Amino acid sequence: MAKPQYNLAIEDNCLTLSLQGDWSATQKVPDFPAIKAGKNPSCTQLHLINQGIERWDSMLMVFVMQCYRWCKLNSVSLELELMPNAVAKLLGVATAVTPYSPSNEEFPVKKTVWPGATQVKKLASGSLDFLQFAGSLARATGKFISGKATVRRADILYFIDQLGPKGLGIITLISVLVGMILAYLGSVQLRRLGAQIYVADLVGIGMTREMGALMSGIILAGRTGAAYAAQLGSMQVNEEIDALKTMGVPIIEFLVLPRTLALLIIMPLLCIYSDVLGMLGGALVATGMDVSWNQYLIKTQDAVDLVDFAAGIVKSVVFAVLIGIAGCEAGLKCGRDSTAVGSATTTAVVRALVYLIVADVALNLLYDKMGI
Amino acid sequence: MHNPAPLVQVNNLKIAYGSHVVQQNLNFCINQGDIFFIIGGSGCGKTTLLKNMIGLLTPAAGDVFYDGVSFFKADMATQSSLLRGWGITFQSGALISSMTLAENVALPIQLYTKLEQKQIAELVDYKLSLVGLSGYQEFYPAELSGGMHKRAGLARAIALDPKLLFFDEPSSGLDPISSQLLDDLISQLCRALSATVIIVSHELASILTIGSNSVFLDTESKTMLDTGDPKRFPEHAKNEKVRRFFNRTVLPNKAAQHEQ
Repeated sequence: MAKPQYNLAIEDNCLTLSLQGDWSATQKVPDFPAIKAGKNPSCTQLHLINQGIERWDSMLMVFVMQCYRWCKLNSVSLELELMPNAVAKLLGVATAVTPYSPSNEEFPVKKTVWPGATQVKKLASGSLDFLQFAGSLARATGKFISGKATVRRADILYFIDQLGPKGLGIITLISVLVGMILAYLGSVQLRRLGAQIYVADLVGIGMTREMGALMSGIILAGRTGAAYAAQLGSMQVNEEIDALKTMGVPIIEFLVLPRTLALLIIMPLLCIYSDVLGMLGGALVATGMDVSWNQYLIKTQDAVDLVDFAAGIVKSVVFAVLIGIAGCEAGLKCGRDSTAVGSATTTAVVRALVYLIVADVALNLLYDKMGI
Repeated sequence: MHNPAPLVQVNNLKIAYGSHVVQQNLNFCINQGDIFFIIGGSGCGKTTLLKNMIGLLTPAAGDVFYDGVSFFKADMATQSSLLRGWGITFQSGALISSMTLAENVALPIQLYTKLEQKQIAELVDYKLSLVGLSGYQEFYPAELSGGMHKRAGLARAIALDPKLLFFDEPSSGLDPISSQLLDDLISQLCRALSATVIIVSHELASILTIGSNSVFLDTESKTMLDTGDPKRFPEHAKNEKVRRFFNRTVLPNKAAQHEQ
């Protein structure tokens, strides 16, 4: 294959470029010699001549486009009669539409007063959106209670099935392990005082008041919150949500309510399940350290009362609503392409985790003030 | 001049989803330089046939030969070298949404050639100007209209100067003028690049203006009813169903001729 080459000849007011060689993408194609030609102001014509072009493809057209642009800029006429027929045809197609150039006025550059200002604004509008969403969810719930909401019972059952039975495995594993971790943490310290038996108190109270609700919350935030955001996001991309809206279906009632209700029903149950399994995990560790099963059981019964369980369950109810809001809000606000679904899912999980931890701290403070 | 061997030969092809047969006993040839239409009513399996031909789905029986090479009996290396010579556009453009138009069009060029960044940029600009989208390089697919998606998909499909182009319903969802412009573009590109084009469509206007060869699929009998130049279908198709399909919208035109 011969290298792509050209010869430049200047006669009177006529420039001639004779091309030869192989002008295809496998080879590097030379640039158009705009500078040399530009020095000759009297030129009015540029001829391109086929002087033995062997093979050619779009790379030749790239070169011809360069010539075309230069000719247009310098008001020189471009003659292509001596080139392969298709070249002129393709150039015609390529230059039929004037290139789009966006005007700068469309995007005025905003002056920022203070670099943090946009962040604060974003936070403020984000909080407002959250309140708005929570408000409309509350209204939908009200309608549901009075039996007027547009919800399909099958939807609620489907989401309950997804959450409960299908999520049980991971909750089991994590809860037992967290119980064991608590027990190890405590027993290392308590053994120094010869008070290993108090591991039962630590694990019992730790699981019921705190870890049971928090761990099931974190698992559901990752498992379910993300799934909700992805489902609703894809529905947004496929215009399903637009279709529902135009059919007059209230989106919050039809899509968000069943998901959140399912969470509300299942979360407390999962929380209790997690509490019990956590204590079991704690027992596994404690019985390996000179505490008998009986002692552990009695000590746990002493330490944990219904108030502790209730404190955890209240937390899990709050977490359920927060996960539902985080997942569904991100999904409904999703953009229109596949990248947007990804970022909606990320937003959902990150928000859900932040909500969970903040709500947990707030509830603990509240319990403390109330003396529970 | 002797008759050249067909570029694409479909032999006894049977396509199915599991046990559900979509089409069977398909036999047709596509010659070099054809603008070949896969025609048929909605849901008859046009797109499925296309997906079988390009290897996205595997046929239940039969084979497709490209230049005499069996696609489904070939090894991975042959298959991917065949695929590299094709340009394929999908119904909605199928642009990668996380990349700009320029990056979308540049993707196959970067993968399969050793050109430098500057030359790739020039090539991308040329491809985009062929489809009338020059200047939209830095736009993301989400910022463009449906018609632009289709044209950008076309720019990506022709990025490597393929000799065989597949289109899945190129003009569906476009207004008559845009779809006519797209037809013109396809036939001009086809002639200028001496490429062969395979188009899935039920747009009679496109089929009758630019088509030079075709196959007609039927839903009920689950097989092809006719193949050949679609321009003779309205009058001389062997099967009455094909004539009816073509005359639905051609009729008023003919009535006008009669009046004259």
